[in-house]
Amino acid sequence: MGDALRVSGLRKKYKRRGPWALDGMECAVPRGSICGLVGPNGAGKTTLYSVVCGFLPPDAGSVDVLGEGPFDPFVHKGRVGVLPQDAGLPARQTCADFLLLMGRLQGLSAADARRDVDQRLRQVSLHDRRTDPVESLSHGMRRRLSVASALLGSPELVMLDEPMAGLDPVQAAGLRDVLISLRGKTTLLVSSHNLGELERICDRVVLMDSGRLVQQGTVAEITAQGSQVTWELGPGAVPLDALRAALPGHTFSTEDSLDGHRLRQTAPPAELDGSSTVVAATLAAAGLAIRGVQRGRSLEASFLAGREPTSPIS
Amino acid sequence: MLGSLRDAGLIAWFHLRRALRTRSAVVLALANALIAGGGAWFFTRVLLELERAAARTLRVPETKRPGAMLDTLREQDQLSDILRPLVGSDELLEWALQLPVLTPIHFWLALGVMPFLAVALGAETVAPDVRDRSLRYELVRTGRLELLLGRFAGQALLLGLATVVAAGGTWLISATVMVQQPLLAQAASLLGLTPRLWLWALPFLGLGVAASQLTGNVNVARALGLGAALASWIGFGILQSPWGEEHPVLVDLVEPLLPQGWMMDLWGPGLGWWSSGLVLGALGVVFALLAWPVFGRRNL
Repeated sequence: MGDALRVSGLRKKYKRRGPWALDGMECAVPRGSICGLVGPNGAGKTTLYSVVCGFLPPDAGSVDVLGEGPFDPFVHKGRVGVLPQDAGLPARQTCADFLLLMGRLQGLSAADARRDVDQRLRQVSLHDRRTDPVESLSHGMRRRLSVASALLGSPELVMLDEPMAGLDPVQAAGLRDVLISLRGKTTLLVSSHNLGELERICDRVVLMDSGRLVQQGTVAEITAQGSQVTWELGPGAVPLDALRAALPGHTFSTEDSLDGHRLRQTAPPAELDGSSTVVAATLAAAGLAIRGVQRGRSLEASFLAGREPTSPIS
Repeated sequence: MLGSLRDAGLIAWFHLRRALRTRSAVVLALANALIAGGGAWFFTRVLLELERAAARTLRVPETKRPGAMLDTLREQDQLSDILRPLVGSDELLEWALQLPVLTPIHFWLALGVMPFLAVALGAETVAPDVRDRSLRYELVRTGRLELLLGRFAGQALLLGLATVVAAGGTWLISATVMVQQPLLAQAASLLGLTPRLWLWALPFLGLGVAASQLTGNVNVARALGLGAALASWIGFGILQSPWGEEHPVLVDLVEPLLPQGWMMDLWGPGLGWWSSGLVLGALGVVFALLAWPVFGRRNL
């Protein structure tokens, strides 16, 4: 299948003496995957999008989009959809006219473009606003219209920079469903600060910071779902010695939670599934209530664990 | 090549549609019509005074509306005295005198006004979209050059419509203020001159388009474009001065690059103006691309 997007050694500075916005960034997004792009503010996510989409020329490095080299609007016409984070929409154009022009520029015939515009407007629940000018839409509606433009013509690769920004929970859930419905049909690269949202949508994640790749892989790999379990326990003494004796290849650690303990178990991936009954039995024998079990860490915990500690906000 | 033309055509068409749906097209058309109609009305006031003076001389009743004594003014060479400085030669004067009287006045006035309207219009071509980055939606679907030429073409179409509306403004004055006017011939002559005015305005539209690529601020773009247009007039004036006569080689080199160098060719009967009009159209495209080295590379 290959990669829908591959960047290597990408470097970019905005000012000659300024810091590197991208400093040797590497990443690959396999075809058909939904990949989250995660990083703190200033990590270089938007710069990465801008360089990949050709809005900005890179200082060094290479970009390969759909196996056909750097992004070229003619080579990749209709095959790449983009939601730019900080781009406004043409205020005085109607929603339908805006999408119609985008569809036609992607190479769709007038009839196909009209049909697709209709479908996308329904998909993002803006069909009743099709003849309204963009300037009359709320922020959330504009965001959904932008998403609709990125999905026009069913492109092979869709890059969405902060698609959930400014959406209320209902709108965000609706958009999440739209994105999940694309799984297997198109390749999605989605950046967001809402890591819980990304965890639900994505099957792969690229973590970046300071213009560099920190980690990339499947969500299961990044969150250690195959090797780590967190047990939420009630009050009482945690039988660490008994657990270590029963499962010698595993490591266990505890920390206090609000009204009990949190037990972290790390295991060789092949032994994790089979060990859960042993752990549960040992905890039950010690009289501990099991209040919850979570495989792996949350994406947020994984992201924070991969970062250097920052100064507390004063 | 065909794909590029298709994209530029689509952008031009949607640009025009958007302008027609919003007040920008209305404002431009009204401004053009008001200026043309206002200029024509002012000329009818002058005409009325001339006709009243002629009536007093001939001891005939004075008219209340202009237009009744145009034949008398022609015979007394008073119309020639007005039109001669506008057209610049006796040969062209003959042609101008055969036209309905408001037509050469409209043409002369529009030659002076349209460059500035065209620059102001051109300054809006991409500057607002550079500021809010809305160009990015189009730039993932087509090239920067196609986008720029499409927008230029869209503005040129809009300018063409505004030129027709301006002719309508003058025709309305002719129909409502004057008497004994050949309204059909008036409309035909005004519309016949419209393509020349449109081509004349294109280089100035190009200057505005170039300015709009340099900044995200429309007012700054307008100032830059108007400055460039004024500089072209000043440059042309210098080339026409005694200093220019002392530097004929420089004049030969530079004058063809200035739209003013082709302006006088637009006067006159027949189709002799076509070649100069085409050069003006080409100058429009060249001027629009003057800022390409910046626009082609800037962070959009």
